[in-house]
Amino acid sequence: MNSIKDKVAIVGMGCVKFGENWDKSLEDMIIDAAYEAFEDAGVDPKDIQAAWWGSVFAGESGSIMSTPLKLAYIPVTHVENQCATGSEAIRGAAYAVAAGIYDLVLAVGAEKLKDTGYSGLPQTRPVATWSYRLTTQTPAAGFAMMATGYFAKYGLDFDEGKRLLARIAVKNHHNGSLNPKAHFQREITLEQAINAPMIAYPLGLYDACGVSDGAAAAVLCRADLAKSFRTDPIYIKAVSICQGAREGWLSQVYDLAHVEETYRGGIAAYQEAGIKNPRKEISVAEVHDCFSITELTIMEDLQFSPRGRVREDIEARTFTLEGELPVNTDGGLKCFGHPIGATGLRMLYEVYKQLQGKAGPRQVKNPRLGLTHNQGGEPGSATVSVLIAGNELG
Amino acid sequence: MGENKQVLIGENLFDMSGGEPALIVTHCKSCGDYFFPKTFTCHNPECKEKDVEDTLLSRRGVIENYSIMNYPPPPPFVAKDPYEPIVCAAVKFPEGIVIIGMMENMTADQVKIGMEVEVTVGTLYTNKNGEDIIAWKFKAV
Ligand SMILES: [Zn+2]
Repeated sequence: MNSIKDKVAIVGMGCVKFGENWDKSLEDMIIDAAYEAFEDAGVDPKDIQAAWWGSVFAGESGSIMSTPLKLAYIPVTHVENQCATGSEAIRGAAYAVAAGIYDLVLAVGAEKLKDTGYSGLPQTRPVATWSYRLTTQTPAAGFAMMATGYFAKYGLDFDEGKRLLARIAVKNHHNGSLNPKAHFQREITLEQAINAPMIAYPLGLYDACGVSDGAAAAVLCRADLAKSFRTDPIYIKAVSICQGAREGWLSQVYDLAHVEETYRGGIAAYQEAGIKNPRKEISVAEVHDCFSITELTIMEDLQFSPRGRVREDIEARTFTLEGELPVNTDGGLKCFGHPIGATGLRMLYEVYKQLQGKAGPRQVKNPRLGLTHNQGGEPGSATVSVLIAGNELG
Repeated sequence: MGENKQVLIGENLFDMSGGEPALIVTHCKSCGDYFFPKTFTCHNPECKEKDVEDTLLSRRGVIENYSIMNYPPPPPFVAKDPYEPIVCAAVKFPEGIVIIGMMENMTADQVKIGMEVEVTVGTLYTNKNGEDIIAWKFKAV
């Protein structure tokens, strides 16, 4: 098996301001994100040889992206892979370059959700076959079961568990307050997070991410050509997708306190990137905090914290901007919402800027390797992506 | 259950022949896994044999996990007005399978991990046509 490490570089990226973008169409956001990426890379859109387009709800085919960008008569591939859709677009683009077929490609992800009335993850499965047992449960209640499961397994009472989750929400809102592209840019307090209305016990309002419109884009090229575009390209070290094939929550091998797909996806990416100690070697990470409990379990599944001991790291402020391993430095899904097709690319935008030293007030010290992670679906049948990028070859 | 027409949420979910409802599951004789609702093959990705049989699951299990739906579930569920938070439980049966269902007659402050419960059958919700949608539920022993 080959590795993608150092074969592909990112030479330009763009990201719109996420939010309730009533004054922008999906096409407007695609254009804004892609042209920021073109200008950042210093390329003419005419030089793009192939493109990948990630969206779950925008409709069928690549034409939704090729039409506004006027990418005529080049291959455009529409991809969908749940919450990992944006990362899947990057993966397709990166693999095509690594295969030696194209030199310069584009990946774009976008979603316009607010004017559809969308208010959270839909029940995507009809009442059929094995999904009977899930049809009456809200997605929030599903993740809430991970929280009660984690609390019970590791002996946290309600107040201790709730406080731990609140610290994650407070951290991400602080980071979002430093980011002009975030949907939510206000700080919250621990007390606000703890006392917010309950959505699905034990998860409250600030344990859940919002709903936003957004788009992001990346220009990728052959690693050996990267320096002809810019002096500070970012190199892809690993792109893994991990798909569960079990029976969702009901799998008999699950403890409802972790997500095996994230654990295995992390291992695959670390192997591909040649990483032995993720906690020490990863400088900054953007992970899928659709709910605060998700970020909590991801810290253990990606081996940033030992199993059952993330509490010590959260209390030691390990994952804050000033901490040992800053996580969700841009504000995360908490502050950007989750326009599904855009999310993986939005995360990569932050990692790209961090690795170039251009993250402004959110800049972490001397980053070398950054990681992005998406997690969709339920533990047992989840779709997970893990991407690792670095600012040096080797 | 009142005067409404009762509509089962699906077929072959439970068996009432013993007087009390028991869930119909499929057991893989090769790897030992159980599946609900019943199925025609084994879904364990590590299992190659797929020698399966239908059987009735133990009627009692233990709450392994739970959450409260403080807001109503999405359609096709029709929430009662005013809405009362619903307790969802993941129940582990002696055979090893975990099944999620709604608790009958249980409030948020009563539910606890480790509580013994049994399978029952009841109204999940009443749809817009005034029909009671009937499914498995759990109740305290
Ligand atoms: Zn089997």
